[in-house]
Amino acid sequence: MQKNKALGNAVILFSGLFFAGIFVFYAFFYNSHLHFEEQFQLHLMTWDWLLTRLSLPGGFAGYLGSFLTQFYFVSLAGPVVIVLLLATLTIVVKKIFSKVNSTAALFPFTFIPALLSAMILCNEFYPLSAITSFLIAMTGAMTYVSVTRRDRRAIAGSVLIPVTYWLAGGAFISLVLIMIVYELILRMRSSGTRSVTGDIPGLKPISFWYFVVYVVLGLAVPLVVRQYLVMQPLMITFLSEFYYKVRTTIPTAVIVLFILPPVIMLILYTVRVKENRVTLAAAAAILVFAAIGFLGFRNFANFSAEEIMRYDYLVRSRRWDDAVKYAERNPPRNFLSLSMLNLSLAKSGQMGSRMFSFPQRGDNGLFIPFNKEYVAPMMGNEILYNLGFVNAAQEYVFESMETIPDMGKSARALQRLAETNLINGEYRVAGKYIDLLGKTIFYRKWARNARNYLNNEDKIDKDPDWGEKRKFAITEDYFFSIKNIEASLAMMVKAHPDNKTAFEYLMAFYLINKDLRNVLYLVPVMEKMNYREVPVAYQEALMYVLGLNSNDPMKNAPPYISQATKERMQAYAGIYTSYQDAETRLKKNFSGTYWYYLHFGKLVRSDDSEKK
Amino acid sequence: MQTSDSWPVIFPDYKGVTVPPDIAPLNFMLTGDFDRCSVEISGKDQKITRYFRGRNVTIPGASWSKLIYGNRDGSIIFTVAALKGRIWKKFKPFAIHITDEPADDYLVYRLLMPGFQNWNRMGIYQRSVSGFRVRTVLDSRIMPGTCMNCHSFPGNDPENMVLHLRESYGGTLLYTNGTLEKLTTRTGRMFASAAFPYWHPSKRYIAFSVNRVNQIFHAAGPYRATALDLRSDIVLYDVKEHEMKIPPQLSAENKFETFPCFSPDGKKLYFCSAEEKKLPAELKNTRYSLCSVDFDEETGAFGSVTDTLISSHATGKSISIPRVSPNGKYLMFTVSDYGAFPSYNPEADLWIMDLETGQYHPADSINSPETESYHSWSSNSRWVAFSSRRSDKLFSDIYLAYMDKDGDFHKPFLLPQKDPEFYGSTLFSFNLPEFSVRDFPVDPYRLAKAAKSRSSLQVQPETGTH
Repeated sequence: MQKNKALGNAVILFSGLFFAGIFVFYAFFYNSHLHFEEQFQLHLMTWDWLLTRLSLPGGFAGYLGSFLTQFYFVSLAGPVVIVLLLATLTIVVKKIFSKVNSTAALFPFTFIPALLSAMILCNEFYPLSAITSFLIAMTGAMTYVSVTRRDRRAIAGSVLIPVTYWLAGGAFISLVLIMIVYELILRMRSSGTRSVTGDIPGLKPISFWYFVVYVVLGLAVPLVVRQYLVMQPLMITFLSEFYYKVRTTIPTAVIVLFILPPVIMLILYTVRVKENRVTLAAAAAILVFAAIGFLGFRNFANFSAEEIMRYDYLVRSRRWDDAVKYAERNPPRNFLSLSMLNLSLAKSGQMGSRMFSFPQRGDNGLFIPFNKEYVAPMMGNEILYNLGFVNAAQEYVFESMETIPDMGKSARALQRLAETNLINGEYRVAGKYIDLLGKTIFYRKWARNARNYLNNEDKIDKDPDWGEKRKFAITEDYFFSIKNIEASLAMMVKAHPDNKTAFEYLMAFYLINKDLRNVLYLVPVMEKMNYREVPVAYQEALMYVLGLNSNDPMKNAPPYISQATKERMQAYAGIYTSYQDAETRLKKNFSGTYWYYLHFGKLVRSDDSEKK
Repeated sequence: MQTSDSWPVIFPDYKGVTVPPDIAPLNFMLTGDFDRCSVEISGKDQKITRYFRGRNVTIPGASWSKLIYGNRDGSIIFTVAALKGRIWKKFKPFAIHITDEPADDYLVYRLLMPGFQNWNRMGIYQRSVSGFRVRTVLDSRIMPGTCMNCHSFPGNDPENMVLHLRESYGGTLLYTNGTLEKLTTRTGRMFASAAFPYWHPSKRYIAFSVNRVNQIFHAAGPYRATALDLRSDIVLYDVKEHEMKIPPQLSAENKFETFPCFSPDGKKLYFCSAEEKKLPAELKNTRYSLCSVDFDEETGAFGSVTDTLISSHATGKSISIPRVSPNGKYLMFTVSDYGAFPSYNPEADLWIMDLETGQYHPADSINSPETESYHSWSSNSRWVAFSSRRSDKLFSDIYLAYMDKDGDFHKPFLLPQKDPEFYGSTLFSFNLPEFSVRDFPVDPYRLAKAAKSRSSLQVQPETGTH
C-alpha cells in the first residue's frame, strides 16, 4: 500500500517535472522558434478556410495545428499550448498502454510519445499539426482498445481507419499498427502464452480476416482518395501534407513516432515486474527515459537557429535595445544575426558608436544577399524597409513568402506587403492584404487600424513610420539590385541627407570595407547631421586618416573629435607601433575600436558565400 | 421602399455587359454595407426573384441557365434592392445582353501569386464557362517547384497540346494523337529551350520563340518588376520528324524575334521583332514591330522576305502577343510603351487589326487604364478572353468580351465566380487564358509522370542548321 502511494507520488512528481521542463524549455530557451513558426503561417478564422482544410486528408489535424500555432504569437502561450497538447497525448497513450500492461512502475513508457513529440517540435520543419494528427490517431486507438466485444471492435476498426485517415492523415498508420498489435497481444493472451496484466483481461481477439481488412483498408483508402478526390503525390497521399513542411522529403521522426506506440505496447507486453523490483523497475525506466530525452534534445534542438530567430524576433518587434542587449550576451555568430544586430544598432542610434564592439566581418553583416529561400529574404526585408527602400523590401518579403516550404502564406509577410502598398498608395492591393489579416485572431487589431489609412494620404503622411518612408521615397526610379547597394545608398543619402539610418549604413559600409577615401567624402554630410557627439567609430576613422596625413593629428583634429578619442589613439598607436604582438596586447582594451578592426579585422567580401 | 435613380454599385460590374447564352450565373456583390438584398431578374416569360442575407447575390444555377437560354439574342433585366437598417432601397434596373453565339466550353488558365520571381503554388486549371467547375490540368501539389507556362492547343482543341515546364522537371510536354512525350527542345545553335509556342493549323508544326528572360526590379513607384527579353529567336518544330528548324530570317543576330502566331490558313506566320538593344539600359527604347512571313506547309519553309505590318518606328509603341481570329478577319495584339512583356506595363492595351483593310486601332471598349495583356479568341471568333489588372493594378483576372458582326467589342465582363467575394480574397492571378473546345484529355498524373520521366526525346536539329 505504502509502495503504491510512493509510486503514485513519483508519477505526479515525474509528470510535473516533465511538463514543467517542456514549458521552461519552450518558454525560456527555445521561444523564438515558436515565433518563427507562427510568422510563417496564415490561419484564417473563416468557414471557407476551414472547409478548404477539411477537404484534404489530414486537413482537420492541419487546421487544428495551425489554429493552435497562432497562439505562438504570445510568447508564453505557445509553451502552454505545447504542454497541454502533450499532456493530453500522454493521458490518451496511458489509456492505450494500460490495456496491455497496467504495471504502475512502467509509467515512464507512457511519456515517451510525448517526449519524442516535444523533440520533434524543436525542428521548425515539423509543424504542430504533426502532433495534433498523432493525437487524433491515438484517440482513435484509445477508442478501439476500449471496445470489449470483438465484433463491435472489428466494426469500430473498419470505421476508424478511413475516418482517422481523413481527419489526421498519415498518423492513421500508427492506428492500424496499434490495432494489429493489440489484436496479436489478445491472441497471445487467449492462447495462454503469457499471464494477463492489462486492464481488461480475457478479451477475445477478432478474426484473422479482419487483420486483412485493416491492411487492405489502410492501403486502399488513401489510393482511392488519390485517384478520385485529391490529386497529390503518392507519399503525400499516405502521409498528408501536415507532418513536414518540405513535401518531397520523408519525415523520419514522425515515422518513428507512428511506430513507437505499437513497439512500446509489445515491450510492455513482454515486460513483467516482480513485486519486490517495482522501485528498481521505475528507476530504470526513468533512467532510460532521461537518456532518450537528453540525447534526443541534443539531436533535435538547434540553438544556432534559435539565436538567429531570436535576433529576427527582436527586430521584427522593433525591440532594438533588447536586440543589442541580447548581442552583448550572445555575440552574433553568423551574418544573419549580425545584420539584425547592425540594424538594431542603427535604429537605436548606436551604430556609429558601437558597431565595432561586435565582430564585424564584412558587408554581408549589413545587407543580406538574396537567397532563394524564405529566411534570409524575410530578414533582409527588415533592413531594406528601415532604410527606406520600400520596393526592395516588398520584393524581398514577397520572395520570402513564396518560398515558404509548405507552400503556405505568412501573416508577417502579408503585413509588410500591406504596409509597402499603403506607402506606395496602392490602396486596393493593400486593402486585400489587410482584409485577409483582419480574418486572423492576432493580426485583426492591426488590420482594423491599418484599414483607417486606406485612401487617406494625410493620415499616412503623418504616421511616424509610413510617413517617414514616404518622406524618404526614391523619386527617380532605377533598377534595384542588392549587389549595387552602395550606389543605392549613395543615391538615397544624396536625395535625402536627413535619412540618418541610410547615412549610417553607408558609413558603415565604407568603414567595414576599410574604404577610408569614401568615408572622407561623407564627412560633409556627417557634419550636417547635427550629431550632439559624432559617433566614436567615425572619430576614430578620421583620426586614423589624420594620423597618416598630418604631422600633428592631435592638434589638427577637427573640434568634434573628443579628447577621449585623441588620448585613446595615442595609447593605441603607442602599443601598435612598439610591439610585434600588438594584436594580442591591444585586444583587451582596444578590440572595440575601429583601429583594431582596421588593422586586424578579417574581411569577408560580399561575393564570398557563407553557409548558414 | 425607397426608389433610387442610380444604378447599384456592384462588383463585378455586370451592368450592360454582353454574355454568351451558356455563361455561369453572374453572381455579384453590392458595394457598401447592407443587411439584406434582393434581386429580380426578368426576361421573356420568365422571372427569378431571390432574397439574400448581406450584400452578396448568388443566383441558383438551374434557374439561371433556363432564364438566359430562353432569352438568347435578347436581354434580361436585373432589379436590385438592398436593406440597410429598416429601409429598403430599390435601385435603377440594369440590363444584361445575351448573344446567340456561345463562347467555347472551357477556359484553361494559369494561377499564381503575382509579384516577383518566386511562387510556391502554381497550376494550370480548366474552368467550365457555363459553370464553376474547375479541373486541375497540372499544379504544384503534384509537381512542386515546377514552373508551368504556355499551354497551347491548335484551334482551341486540347486533343493536341504543348506545355512548357521550367525549373524542377523542366522540359516540354507534347501531346499528339493520344501520345504524350517529353521533349528536350534545345538543339543545334539554339541558346535556350523552346518557350512560347504556337501551333500550325495542320498540327504538323509548332513555332516557338526561344528567349533569354531576366527579371529586374524597380526601386521606386508603383511598378514592381520588369522582365527583360535579353535575346530571342523563333524556331519551328516539326512534330512528325522531331526536327527543329532554325530559320535565319527569324533568328537574325541583330534582332529580337518573338511571339510567333500562324494565320488560320497556315500560310503566314505573324511575329514581333525589335532591333537588338543593350538591356536594361535601353529597355525603354526597345520596341517591337508586328511582322509577318510566308510559310509553306508542304516544305516547312518560311519565305525569304519578312514584312513589317506595323512598325514600332511609326507608332512609337511596342507590340506583343499577336493572335489571329479563327475566321482570319482580325488580328488582336497587345500594345505597350516598350518591351516584350506587357503584363508589367500598366499602359498596355489590346489593339485590333482588320486583316482585310490593314487598319488597326485600340480596342477601346475593352481596355482600361491598367494592364491588358494576354488574349485568346473563341473558335467562332466572337469572343475574346483576356487578362487584365484593372481591378487593383496587381492581380490579373480574366475578362470575356463579345465582338459583334461589325467587329465592335461590347463591354467585357469578369469571369463569374460562385462566391462574389472571391476576387477580393484570392491571392492568385489568372493569366494566360486560352479557350478550349473540349475537356482536357490528359490525366494530371500522366502529365506529371511524363514530366518527371528521366528520359526525354532529344529534338534533332534540321540538317544544315547545326
